[in-house]
Amino acid sequence: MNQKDPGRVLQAVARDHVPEDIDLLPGILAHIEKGNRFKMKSTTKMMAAVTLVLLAIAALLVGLPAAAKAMQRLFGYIPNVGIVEKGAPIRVLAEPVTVTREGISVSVNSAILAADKTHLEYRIFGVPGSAYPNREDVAGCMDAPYLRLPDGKQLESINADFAPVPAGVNEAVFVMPCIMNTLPGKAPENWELSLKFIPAPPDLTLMPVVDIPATSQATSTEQLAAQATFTPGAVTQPVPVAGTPTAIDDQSVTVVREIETSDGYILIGEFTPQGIAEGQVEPYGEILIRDANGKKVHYTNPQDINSNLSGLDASKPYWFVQFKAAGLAYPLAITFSGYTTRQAEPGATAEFTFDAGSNPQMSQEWKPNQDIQLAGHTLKLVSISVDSRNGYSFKFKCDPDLISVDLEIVGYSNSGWGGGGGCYDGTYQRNLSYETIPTGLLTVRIANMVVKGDSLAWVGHWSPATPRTDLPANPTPQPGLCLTVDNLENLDRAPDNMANGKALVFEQLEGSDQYGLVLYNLADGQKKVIASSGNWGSLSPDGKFVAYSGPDNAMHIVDVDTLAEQVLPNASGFNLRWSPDGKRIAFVALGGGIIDSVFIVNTDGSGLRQVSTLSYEYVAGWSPDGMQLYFVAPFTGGAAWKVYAFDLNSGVATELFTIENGTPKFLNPKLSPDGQWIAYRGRDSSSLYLVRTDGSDMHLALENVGADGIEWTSSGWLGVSLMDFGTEKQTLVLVNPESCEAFQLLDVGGEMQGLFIP
Amino acid sequence: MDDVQAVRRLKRGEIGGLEILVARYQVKAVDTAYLITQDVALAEDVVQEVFLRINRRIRRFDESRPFKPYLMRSVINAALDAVEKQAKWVHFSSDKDTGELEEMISQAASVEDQVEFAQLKREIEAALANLPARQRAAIVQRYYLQMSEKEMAEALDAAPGTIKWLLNAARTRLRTLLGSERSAE
Repeated sequence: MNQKDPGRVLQAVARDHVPEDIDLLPGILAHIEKGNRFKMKSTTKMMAAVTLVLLAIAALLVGLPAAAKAMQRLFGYIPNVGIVEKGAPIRVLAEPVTVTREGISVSVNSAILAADKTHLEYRIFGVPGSAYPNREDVAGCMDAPYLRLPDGKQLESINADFAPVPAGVNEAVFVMPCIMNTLPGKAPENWELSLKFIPAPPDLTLMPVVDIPATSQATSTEQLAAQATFTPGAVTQPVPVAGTPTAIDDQSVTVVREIETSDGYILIGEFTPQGIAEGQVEPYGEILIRDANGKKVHYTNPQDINSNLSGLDASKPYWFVQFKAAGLAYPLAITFSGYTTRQAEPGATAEFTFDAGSNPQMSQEWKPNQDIQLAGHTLKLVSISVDSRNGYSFKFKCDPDLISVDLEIVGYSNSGWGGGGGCYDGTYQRNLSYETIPTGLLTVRIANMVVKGDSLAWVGHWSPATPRTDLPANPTPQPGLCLTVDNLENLDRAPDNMANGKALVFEQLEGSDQYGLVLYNLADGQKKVIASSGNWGSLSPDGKFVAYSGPDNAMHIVDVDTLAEQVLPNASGFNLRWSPDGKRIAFVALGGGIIDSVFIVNTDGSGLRQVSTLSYEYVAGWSPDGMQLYFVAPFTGGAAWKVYAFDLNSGVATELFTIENGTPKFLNPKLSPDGQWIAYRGRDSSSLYLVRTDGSDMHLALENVGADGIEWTSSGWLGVSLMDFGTEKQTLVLVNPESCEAFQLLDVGGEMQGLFIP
Repeated sequence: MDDVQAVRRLKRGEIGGLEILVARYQVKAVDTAYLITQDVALAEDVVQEVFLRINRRIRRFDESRPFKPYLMRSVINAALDAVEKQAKWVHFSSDKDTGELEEMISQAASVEDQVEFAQLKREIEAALANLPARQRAAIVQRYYLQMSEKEMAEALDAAPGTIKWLLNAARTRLRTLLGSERSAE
C-alpha cells in the first residue's frame, strides 16, 4: 500500500465502513417494481390552520392588478440558446467558420454574445472511432475548449457556454486543445478558429422573461376555498382517493418565472410540498396541466432551459414546461403527484433473542420463523445467518408498505450495516457487521419502522401576467405537419385493407417479468412470442423472419411460423436492418476496438464486413437496390448527427448532410423503402421529422406525440408507435406523409420494431 | 457488455442493463457517497436513489458520453444534497460518533506497516469529517475519483476558480489537521 496515495487511502477509509460485497440491486429493483421513489423517513401531518392562513393571504391578494403580480427582470430568452441577460446589446457571429484537418472538421456555426455569457454552437465531425478509448472506463483528453481574446485573456467554458466577451471586443479565437475524450496522438490537436462578431440583426428573437413574486400565485379565494378540503381548526391529513389523490392547493406548486414564446409560454416553477414538517416527498408520474375549462394542456420540456437558470438559485430542483397558448382559458391548474413516507409509530420497539453459540461459523443459519409485532405491523423473522463481515444477516417476511426498520444487537456497537431498501418480493433483509462478531445469547432490538405514506397530489395555479390575444384558437397547420398531440384522439381506426399484416413489438411478456419480442396480428390483435429474451428486432422484408439481438449479444434469426431459430456465427451486435432482398443484415457492433460502428453480414453468417470506423452509429436503412447503406454518426458531444451513405461497390462512405434537430438520445432513423426520405425522432424525443436523403425538405411531421418506434410500410406509409408516458403502452398509428392521412392501428405493450403490411 | 450496451438495453426497458451498471459501479459509488456523507446508510440511500433516478431518466441519457462520469457526478450532487437535508431528517440509526470510529480503526491492524497505514487512515478520516461537505466533495473528486478541475467544475456547477478555492481551502485545512508532511497532495 502506498501511503502517499490519497486515492487509495480514501478508498481504504471508505472500505472500513462500506462493505465491498454491498448489493443494492434488490432494493433498487423493489422500488422499480413498486413504481415509487420515496425513501425518506417522515411524519405527514397537514395543519388546517396552514390552509386557513393561505386562504387569508389569497384574500389579501384578490383585486391586485395583473401587472402588479409580475416583475420584469433584465433577462430575455432566445430559442435554442436559453435565458440571457439583456444588459448589453446582443452580438452574433459574423459568419460560420470551419477548419478541416486529416478528414476531421471543426465548425463554429453560430454565436450569441450576451452580457452574462457567450453561447457558441460548434460541431466536430469525422473523428475516427479509433481515436477514442475502446473502454468506457478509460478517459481520453479532457481539456475543454476556450475563447482567447485579442489581449490573450482566456474565457473558459462551463456547461457549453463561455464567459461573456467584453463589450467592444469583436474578435476572438476559438481554441480547442484537443477533441474531447480522444487519445493522445490519435487525432489532430490544438485547433484554432478565428471568429468575428457583429451586432445582432434587428429580427433576433429575444423573448421576455418575467419573474413572478411568490405571493402572486393564488387566483381567487373562491377557487382556493372550493379546492380546500380541510376542516377548520382540526388537525387532519388529506385522505387520498383511489387512483385520484386529493389535490392539495397550498402553494406547494408555484411558478417562479414565465417566458413568452412565439406561440405560447415556458414556465419554470418549484414543487415544495408545504406543511410536511419532516422528511421528503418525491413526485412520481408526470405533471398534469389543465386549463380553466378542464382541457388537458400538452407540453414539452424545453431543452435549452435546464442548465441555464440566469438569476435563479441553481441548486433548486425546478420544473420546466413549454406549451402552446392558442385557445387556452386561464388560470391553468398544475398538478404534481407523489408519495410520502412516515414512521409507523415513533418510539415503538420490539425485541427477539437468538443463541449464536460461542463460535458462530460463516453461513451458519437459524430459522426462527417467529412473528414480531411492531407498530401495528407483523414482521416474520424467517432466518438469521452469519455473514462475511463479522456479523449477521436477518431476513423478514414483510408488509409491502414497509420501507425500513432499524436493528441492533443490544450491548454491541455495529461497525456497519447493509440491506434495507424496502420490502422486496415480500422479504426485508438487514445486515449488521462488527469488529468482533457477537456471540452467545443475543437480544436484537427492532425500532423505527418506516412505512409508505399516502399517495397525494398538489395543485398550483397560474395565469399569464398579460394573457396573449394574438394567437388564433385554431392556427393554420404548418405544411407537412400531419399529426399533433392535440389531434391524436380524433384518429379513425385503420380500414381493413390497411389493418392487415403484422407488427413486431418489444414488450413485457404476459405473466412474466421478462421483456421479449412479440408479433402482433394487426387484424385481430392476437400476438405470438417470437423471442422470450432479446431485443433490437427487425422483420424481414417478406415478413417471414425476425432477426434480433439475443441476451448473449449474438444475432438470432427466427422463422415466425415455425419459431425455428438459428444463431449466426461470427455476428454479434444490435440495431439490425434487413437488406431489401432479405439476404443481408446491417447492424451495429463493437469492432476493431471501435464502439458501435456499422457492419454488414449475410444471413448465413458469411461475408462479415465493417462499413464504418466512426462511433456510436445507427443504421438508417438500405437503398431500394441494396447497394447503398445509410447510417448516421453523432457529432462529438451528441447534439447533431451526420448522415452518411456507404456504397457497397466502391466501399466509400459519403457525407450527405447534418441533422441538427434530432434527439441526441435514440434518433431511430429509418429510410423509406423508395430511398427518398429519412424519418427520425426530434430533439424533444417525442416529435418525428422527415428529411429527403439529399438533405432537403426537412420538416416536422408528427409533433410531440411520443414517437418511439418508427417503421415504413412497403407502400410508403409511416408506421409509428407512440409512447404513453404514464405507462409502457404504445399506440400504433399509420401516417401517409404525402397526404397526411392518418389512422390508428392498435395498442401494444411497447416499442414497435418491425411492421409488415402486404 | 460495455457501458454503452448496458445503457441501451436499459433504455429499451431491459432491467438487465441496470443490473450490469449497478453491479459494475455500486461499490465505487457508495464509497464516494460515504466519503461525502460520512454515513454508510445514507450513502446507500443516496446511491440507490441515484440509480433509480437514472433508470427513470435513462431515455434522456446521451449515449455519446461515457456513463461513469455521469453517474459519479450524480452521486456527488445527491450526496451533497443529502448532507444538506440531513438535519431535517429524523435519525433512527445508532451510528457511532467520529471518536468511536477512530478508536475502532486504530485497533484494526496488527502488522507494523498496517499499523502505520491505519494511523494515516484514521487521521485522514477525522480530518475529512471536520471539513464542510462541499470541501469533502472537492477532495473526493480530486483524489478519489481523480477528476480534473474542469470536470469538477462541471460536476459541482461551479467556476474553475471556485474549485481551486475549495481545493486550496481543503488542502490547507488538511495540512493543519494532518501536519505538513502528510498533506493530501
